[in-house]
Amino acid sequence: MGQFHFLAFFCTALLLSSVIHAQPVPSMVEKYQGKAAPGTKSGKVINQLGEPVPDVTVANMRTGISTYTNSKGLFYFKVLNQNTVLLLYGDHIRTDSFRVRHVRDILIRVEEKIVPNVPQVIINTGYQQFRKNRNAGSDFSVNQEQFQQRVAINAVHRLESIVPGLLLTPKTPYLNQPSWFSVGARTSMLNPNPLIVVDHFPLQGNLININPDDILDISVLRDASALSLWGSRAASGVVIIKTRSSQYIDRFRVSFNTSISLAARPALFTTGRMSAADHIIFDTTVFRSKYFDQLLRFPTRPPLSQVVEALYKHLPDAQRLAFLDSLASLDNRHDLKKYFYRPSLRQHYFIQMEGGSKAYNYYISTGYDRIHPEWQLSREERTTALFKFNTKFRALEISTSVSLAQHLQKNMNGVPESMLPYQMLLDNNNMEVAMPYKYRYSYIDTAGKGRLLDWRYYPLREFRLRNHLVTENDYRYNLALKWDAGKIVPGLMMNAYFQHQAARNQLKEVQDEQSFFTRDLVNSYSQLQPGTVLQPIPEGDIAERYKTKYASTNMRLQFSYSKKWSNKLLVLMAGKDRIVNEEMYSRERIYDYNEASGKGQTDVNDTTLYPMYYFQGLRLAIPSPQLSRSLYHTYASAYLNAFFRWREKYDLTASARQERSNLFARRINNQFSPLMSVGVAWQLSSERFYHSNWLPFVRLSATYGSTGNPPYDAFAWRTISYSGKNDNGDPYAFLTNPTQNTLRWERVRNLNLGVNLRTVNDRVELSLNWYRKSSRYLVGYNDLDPTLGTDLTGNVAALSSRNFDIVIESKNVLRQFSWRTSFMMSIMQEKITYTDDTLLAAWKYCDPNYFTTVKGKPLYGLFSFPFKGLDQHGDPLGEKGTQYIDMIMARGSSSLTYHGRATPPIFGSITNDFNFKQWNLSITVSYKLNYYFRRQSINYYDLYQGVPAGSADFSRRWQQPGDEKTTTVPSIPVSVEPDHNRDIFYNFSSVLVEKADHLRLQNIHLSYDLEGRALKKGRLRLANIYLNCSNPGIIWRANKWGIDPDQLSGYRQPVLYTIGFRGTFK
Amino acid sequence: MYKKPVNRLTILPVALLMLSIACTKQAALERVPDSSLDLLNSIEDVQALLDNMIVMRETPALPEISADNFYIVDSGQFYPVERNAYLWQREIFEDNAPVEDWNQPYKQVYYANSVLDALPDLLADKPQLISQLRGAALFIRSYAFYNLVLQFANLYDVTSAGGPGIPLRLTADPFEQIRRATLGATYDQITNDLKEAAHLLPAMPDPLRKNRPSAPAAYALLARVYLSMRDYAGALLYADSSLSLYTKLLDYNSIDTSVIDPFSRNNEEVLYQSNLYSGATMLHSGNCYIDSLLYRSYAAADLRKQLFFTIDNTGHPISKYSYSGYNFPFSGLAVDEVLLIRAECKARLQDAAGALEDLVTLLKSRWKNGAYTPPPVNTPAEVLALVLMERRKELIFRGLRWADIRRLNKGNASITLQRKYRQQLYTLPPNDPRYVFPIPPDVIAFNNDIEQNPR
Repeated sequence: MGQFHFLAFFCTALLLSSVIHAQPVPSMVEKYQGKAAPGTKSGKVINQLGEPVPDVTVANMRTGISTYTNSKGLFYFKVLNQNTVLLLYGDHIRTDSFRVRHVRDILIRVEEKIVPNVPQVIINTGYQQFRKNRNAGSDFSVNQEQFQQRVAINAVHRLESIVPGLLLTPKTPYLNQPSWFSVGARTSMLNPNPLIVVDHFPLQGNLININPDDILDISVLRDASALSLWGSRAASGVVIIKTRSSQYIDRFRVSFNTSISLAARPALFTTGRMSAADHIIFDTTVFRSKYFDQLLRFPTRPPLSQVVEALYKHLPDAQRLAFLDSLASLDNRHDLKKYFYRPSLRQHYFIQMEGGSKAYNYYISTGYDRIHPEWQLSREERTTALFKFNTKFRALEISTSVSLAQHLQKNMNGVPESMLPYQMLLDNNNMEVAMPYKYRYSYIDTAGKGRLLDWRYYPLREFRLRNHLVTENDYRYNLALKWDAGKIVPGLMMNAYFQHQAARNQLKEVQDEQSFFTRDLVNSYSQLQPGTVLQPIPEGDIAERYKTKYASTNMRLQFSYSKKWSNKLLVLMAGKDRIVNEEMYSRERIYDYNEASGKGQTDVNDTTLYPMYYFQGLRLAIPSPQLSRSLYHTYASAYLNAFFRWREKYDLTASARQERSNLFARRINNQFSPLMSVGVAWQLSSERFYHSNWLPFVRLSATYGSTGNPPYDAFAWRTISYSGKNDNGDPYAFLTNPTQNTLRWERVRNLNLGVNLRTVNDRVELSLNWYRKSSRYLVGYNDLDPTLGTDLTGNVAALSSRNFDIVIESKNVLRQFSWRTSFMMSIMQEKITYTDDTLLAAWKYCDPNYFTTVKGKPLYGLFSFPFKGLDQHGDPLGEKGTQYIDMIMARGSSSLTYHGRATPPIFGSITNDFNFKQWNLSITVSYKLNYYFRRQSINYYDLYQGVPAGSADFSRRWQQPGDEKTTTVPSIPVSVEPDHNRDIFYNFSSVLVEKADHLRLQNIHLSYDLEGRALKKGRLRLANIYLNCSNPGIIWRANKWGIDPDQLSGYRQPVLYTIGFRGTFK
Repeated sequence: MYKKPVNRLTILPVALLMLSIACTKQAALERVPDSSLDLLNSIEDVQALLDNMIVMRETPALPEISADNFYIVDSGQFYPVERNAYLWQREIFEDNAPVEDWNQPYKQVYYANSVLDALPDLLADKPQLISQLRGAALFIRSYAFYNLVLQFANLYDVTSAGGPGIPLRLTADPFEQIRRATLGATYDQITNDLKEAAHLLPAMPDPLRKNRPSAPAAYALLARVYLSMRDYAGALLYADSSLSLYTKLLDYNSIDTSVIDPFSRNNEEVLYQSNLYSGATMLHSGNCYIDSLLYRSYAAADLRKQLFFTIDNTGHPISKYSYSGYNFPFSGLAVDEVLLIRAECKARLQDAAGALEDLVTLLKSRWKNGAYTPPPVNTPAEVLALVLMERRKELIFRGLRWADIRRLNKGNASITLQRKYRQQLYTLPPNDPRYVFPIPPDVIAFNNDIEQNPR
């Protein structure tokens, strides 16, 4: 790919240099260039500065007919009478009305709002742009205003409750990237994410590297024809992101946006964790059962808690009780609050400059975000820059852009090991407190007789020594050529696109010399010899580096031809697409690392075995995880698309795409079978027989097509994976995949029906969309009979889904005070129609770590063991009493209770926008209904294993006969051998399943547009101050435990308050 | 407007782009998408699969856990399967853990079958190497089948040959139907494959790679198989074949008795390296105590007493690291076992002098220099008893005792096993159905027509 890359650069450089010489003088006067048919009336819309305003909806209040202004601010009406009132609105202007005095020179001055200054009614298929509702299918264009009213730095997070059918799951508190997000019903098990397309091509890097302020518009495509056009990776929808650029008009603008967000220290006391006193009760009870006695005999000397150690010491009763009482009164959350956490702060700065003339335009922007999250010593930074240059020479338009981004995450990987509640960080003398960890104190205090390194674990020191840095550098270069070949063949256009994307991601974690990790490793390998200590692992920092490199080269050549007859329009499009994606991973560990020089010891002897100091029977080599791996995916596709419109009423589209990829091995069936689609639309309201005064616009559409997902994680051929050297020094390999001649790629068939209705003057706009998707040959993991010796990732299931979306946009009041409401609701229903499920053990259907498929049930169903109360010993009862092993190992899901879905089948949002003079208030409420979650409760097996965080449910446990009438929390199992199955049964039992339905106040945004003097003073053309409140909290929830079903563990996320200021200079 | 030269230049990049898009190389579309994956299409790939010691070296541990070489005092730290097998419970696979004693050998079978599938497609420029790889795959598959049949089916004899054996998986097809072959067919498959393997494999073991099979190892395995079938003439023939190719013994006098790991894993006595399942913690050095009577039966001048065992801090004898070089026991093939098989067969076939000669050869290398003198035994029966006792002492913790008990009980040994655990007495009478382990429940669940063993 190297030479293409160079070539593209060379060509651009050539072109740019010629542009500079050939730059024409921009004309100062825009001429009315009547493209409209003779006899039409035209008008022009300008802003405060006399500049033309494109994409304003101009509605004739008398006839109900509306039109849009073009890029020159011009609009045309066939009929326009004097004294007609025109209503002008658009997301980028303040709504206004205008009475036509003279039909000749209509010049309307409107007040342009600064954000967003983009046309939101454009649907971008990535190949073509359509005005909303002008293509056959159903699609959704993101409301830019709402998008810009969010403050998340990742565009995906801003889309939540703005796009119908979009779900982010699950929310990971400290990551800025959801683990997956889906648009509409799931069609695939392994690959739920929609395809994200940025400026013509699929995004290979990370979406966070695109500054939301640089985004011009986002379209979400879900209809069959659009998906078929995007090919095999589009089955889960396509999100088309178009970045901003300037226009071919004479202007120069500098705009900025800056904001500061604050959130309080996390409310640590909202976690339902087990108290210090309860931990003491647990340890004391278990101590009596002699369980800990066997731990004393373990050769690896596992640690015991302070409580258990105290119980083993032969102390007088009074002294022991006094010690335990002193522990019971402790709560380390006070320390954590002080030394681990802090209020969080985010800063956002963005500045853009755009300008142009008739012949060229440019856009330059840069943004900087800095986040101080709730943990001390952590930070996140993002710097973005975007340069764009577009120019026209007669029939040829050349567009280039370069996008650069750097994203840093310092210590964003969370806090170290969890602690018991009585584990404080500092003692009364402000000295670091150690905690029992990995080995017993009685062992490490004497081990090595003082010749080894300190072997204790200090939680505060570990926290402060964290040195974890993720650096991501992202780069995109784009070249697009658009050649209007109309002079040769009328209606012929040729487009060529080239893009190169590269991202480098490096994770570097340095384990300080003083950290437990390093001290433990050095000590474990140490050998005491007379007079000396042999240390095969050197004392010094240990660094681990993971590097990932992505590179993606994309090329597309596209011809389009359009022909217009009196009442017919034909648009044909054909193209070829080529994508080469490469990913390279490497991992290395460096001993005795020097941060300043970035060097250390990488070539360690990894074949000699050393006895472990803490257990001489164990011999290990020096760990030296070096790894490198590369992925190579390539696609070559060809596509055809035809659009035919007749009498402005009937639309017909058809598309076909053929795709080849190295992901579909030669052996995979139907590699070459094309993806096809057809679509029809009928503008019923344009029919002569249609007469309705209140409903002047009715449009019906239907699309049908097929798409697919390549079987990313499944391979048709037998593969092996090398894994290093064996004990005799020879390379060895694992078999990773059996030959499966029957493997196919996932096939999805889509049917989509849509209705679009508008009342007079677009006061109420309603769109209803119904989708049916059936997926076959879903790729998933299959447990096979162990006798076969292998697992299999192959085609295991089929799925059918229905999805119904309602979007209502209503302009309730449109005067000086305006009130708009947008309502969205998605109803989803999907079920497995076929499965190869081999009837697993019942508990696997409950455990979310297993992807199980049950015929007739959704992909994520919630199953549980029927709970029948507690017995007189406090043991939980099921269908078979206390025969836990029989219940959890029963085959299949038939013995389980099915509650419902674990993801919401009904969800959506209501946004109300209020506008009065310069004031604007927007309130978004989201809702998720009719689904279930599993509440976390006490897991005694984990407590036995020393997992510190217990549940507060412990305090409600069964304690004495009779309690079974009032509680459902089982008793402490007192046994030398704790029964894991009892905990599996209880934690997956029906008593812990709760309704997850809730109503959430998602976002509140208040803004004020500056006017008059204030603007003048700041030499500003437009300016706006805003206040934002993100995720203020849940308004209503179905569960009575106060649990946020979107966040099942940890503390409640603090509310984020933002104040910001944006404007455009004169 | 005047015409600018620019217009002609613009055609250039367009044409170049068109060209670049049009040229889509077919080779790129056939490239394997992940560099960490290979297609098993070279001799090196096949060798790397066979050299995967993580998969290949593991052999079942249940027979050793159920045998009578050791005892435990506390089961708290052991997996339920180990505890149940130790106490000869009717149900042993009660928890949800995978049954590695079944799964691991079948994984080896799958690897061997994949190799056998791939070999015909390899370039035929090194036919000798390819035939050696075929020999190695056949050896590995037979070794796995044999380890399986010893656990999950009755011991072979003429009367039981029609009974159920084990599933004989002979392809790498992930959709193969699984059913149990007869016991006779199972043993036929094992012995025939091993005989073919012995012809294909190199005549000497690689001194640095005892994980790779050789002809003497294949003959040694055949001798082990025929011995368990009580076909003493067959066992004698193949033990002899093995020893005629390779007969090196370690001299225990030259080995340091003070360390915990006196033996290296590629020592010259080893023919083929494998170990009892490394995840069976009960068998790890230090976790179980050697049967006291057995420990006392080693003479003071017998170096094995110090090289095989040590005394832990509670005063109990525990095992040291064996020929595996690790803290889990060796279960592979070694010259000492082959010598003992030949001695036993000679004794059973009435060659008392020949049997004694083999035994003395072995024991002279095990005792302190000059200390060993054979007891005054003359009759084949006396020599046999001596050989059997030395077999038990030499091959302790190799997973062989369980099959020996079953074999000897088919004669007239009537060995009844007893354990006392937490004040309760457990007994296993001779020829009890519990000598055959149940087929793992998940295998039954996947295949309704697989017959469960009575227990």
